[in-house]
Amino acid sequence: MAAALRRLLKPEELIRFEIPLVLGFAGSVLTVPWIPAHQRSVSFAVPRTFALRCLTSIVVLAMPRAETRAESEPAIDHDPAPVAASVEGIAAAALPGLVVHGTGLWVRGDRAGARNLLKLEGLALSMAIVSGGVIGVSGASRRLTSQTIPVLVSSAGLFLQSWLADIYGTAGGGRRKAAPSLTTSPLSLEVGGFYVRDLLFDYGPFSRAKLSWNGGRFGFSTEAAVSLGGNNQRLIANGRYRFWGQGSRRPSEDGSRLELASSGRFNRHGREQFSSVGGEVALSGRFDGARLGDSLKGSFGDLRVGFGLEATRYATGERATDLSDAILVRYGFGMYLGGPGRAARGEVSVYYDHRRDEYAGGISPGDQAGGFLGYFGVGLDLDIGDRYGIVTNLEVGSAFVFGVSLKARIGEAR
Amino acid sequence: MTRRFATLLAAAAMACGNSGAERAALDDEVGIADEPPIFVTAQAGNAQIRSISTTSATLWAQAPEVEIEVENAGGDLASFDLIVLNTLSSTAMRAMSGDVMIADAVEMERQRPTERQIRFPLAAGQRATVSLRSEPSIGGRYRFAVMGDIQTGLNEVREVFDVINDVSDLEFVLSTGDIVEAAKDEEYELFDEALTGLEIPFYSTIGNHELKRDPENWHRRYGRYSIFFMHRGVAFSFIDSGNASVHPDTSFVLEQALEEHRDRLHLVGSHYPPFDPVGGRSASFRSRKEASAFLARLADGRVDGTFYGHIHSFYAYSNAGIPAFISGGGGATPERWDGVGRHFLIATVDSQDESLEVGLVRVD
Repeated sequence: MAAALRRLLKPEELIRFEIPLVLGFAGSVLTVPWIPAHQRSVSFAVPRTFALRCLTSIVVLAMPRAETRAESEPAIDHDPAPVAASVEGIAAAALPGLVVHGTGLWVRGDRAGARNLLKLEGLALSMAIVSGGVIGVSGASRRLTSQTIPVLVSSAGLFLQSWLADIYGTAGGGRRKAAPSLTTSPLSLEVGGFYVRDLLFDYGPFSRAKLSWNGGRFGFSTEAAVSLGGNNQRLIANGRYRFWGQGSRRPSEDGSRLELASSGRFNRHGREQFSSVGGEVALSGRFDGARLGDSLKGSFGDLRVGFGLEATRYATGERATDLSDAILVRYGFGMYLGGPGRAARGEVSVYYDHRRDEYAGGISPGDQAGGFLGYFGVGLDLDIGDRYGIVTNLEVGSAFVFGVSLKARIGEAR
Repeated sequence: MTRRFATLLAAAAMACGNSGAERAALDDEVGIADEPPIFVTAQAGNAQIRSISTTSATLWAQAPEVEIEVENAGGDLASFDLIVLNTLSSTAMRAMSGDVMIADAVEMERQRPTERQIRFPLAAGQRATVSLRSEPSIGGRYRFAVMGDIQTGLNEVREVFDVINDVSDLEFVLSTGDIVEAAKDEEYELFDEALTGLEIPFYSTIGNHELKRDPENWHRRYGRYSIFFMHRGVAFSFIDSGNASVHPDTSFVLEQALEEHRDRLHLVGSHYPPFDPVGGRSASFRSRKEASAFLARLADGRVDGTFYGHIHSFYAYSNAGIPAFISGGGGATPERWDGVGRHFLIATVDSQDESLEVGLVRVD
């Protein structure tokens, strides 16, 4: 499986992307029976998982390189141009393509892209079967969920990404000549607001401001949101280190990247008389669709997997403080807007976030999924000209969140 | 086309979020039925009327103490039979007309420990009140069982009930829901049959599995989705969180209970725990903000203990400073490697010193 995925990545990029992550989690699942019974999941999950990721990276490095296999196998038959939009291609991608990913591209003649999407689906299903099987057999054991749930949720992400990519390709997405912006201003400021429609909370509208600093390998941002009617305030600070991708020591040729991200959060609910403070760490990656096939140029898939701790302090009763942990998985599929020389550039994406501590809460589409899922969203980040832009998003969980902010970029892009 | 799309959207919204509202509305309709000229009303919806005719009515109690009004708007009736299932054997059953005991009322011989029947004459225009009440002389210290999540273990749940029967002095069983797996009629029938082997009443809120098919099946059989009652000085509020959330209409009733019982021992339960003790597993409320707000209210209402299900194991911990217990060992696929298996809890309460003690009983 890993060898097949090698074709999708350049050898020097291989270990820096998702393979160590995915196989590391899978490896941790397989080694769980060795974990002493008295250990709680919170205490062992993170160090063990990261240790196994490192181990897996070494194993992947030791595997035969793609060039040796190329001697005995024909080269991937990349088509010279992205496929054009067609109704039959979209239809094939949408319905039979839901079962066999890549059907749309195959029908339209992009065999290489189709095969890559099918491989991604295979990877997703394998991850789902292993993790879902372990969860089912173990009765969602407290000793295994920290390892298996990230794999299960990530597998859903890979599955949806490869399916949406097929639809994107057959809709002629690759012909748009859209490309990521590889330069960024060192500072950006977003000012705007968002509105939360929640059956249970009456927040009123929020005002929001976010200041971001992009220093290449390192980045930092801080965001404040204040409810104008609900006595609710939120503060988020994010930091990141980019291992791979634009601005890092190992730049990629496109928008693909891999980062270590960390966050600190504070949220005060004055009316409901509690507040929460938390910290989290995650691996976050982006993979450009162009690496899977020419028809997928201009698209990308995002995946973020991490772990968080949150303390909630209650201002009622005994004024107790409760500590809880959270598995953080977020995935998305999107496309770049605009391209070289165009005035408007940016990206639009659909995403799923497994966390349920945001204003959107968690979606409850049916009794079985209730209490387990996070929220879905769609976001647009559009730069207009050299200095300004607009950022908007709509999220659906147990509540609806709609936000709009204006963005100003400060400093010369580099 | 636009109208059809709007209808579809509305239907989807109902399926996603409004079913809690529907259930809260149905709770207000529990215990009201008529077969003219007979009208039957169970006060506070503490019993559901399973059948009614001009000469009899059969009810399912969801609380130890119930009060049922029977009104005859027709001619004289020589006798009317009121049968109440799922009752507490130690309660006294009386039929009154106003403040006067109906002299000719006769309590029939019990077919089962939890089944009570009273026969009384009902004159034209007369309104009789049948009550099941604990004797005031009985003290405020007693024990009850807590269990949840029977689901696929329905065929073997009698084994759990047998162990419960073997424990002396238990007043009743409180359930946090998920008694069925797929909410099929035959499952409910199987459960009712199993309950005939339980010697004490079984009071329950619903879980997510009761929502799999027609949720009104629960309403028709057992009445309220959220149950509230007082027993020997202790207040119980077991509320509907079947879709991983507590609807505002249900929260409103809970708020009233919190205000009313803040100075006495008050135990609150729901199927979903607000937070999963294993946070990353997320077998909990669908919004952490809702979970925290819910717990903040319980803490403000001086709740003394919380009971949850959904997770098929046993956990004892604290939420918002309130003792919390998860018990999902009624027979559903168990959490492995936890050393628990099928089980139930025994809670000992004392309304005088407002104490709560909880112990674990393994069935296997």
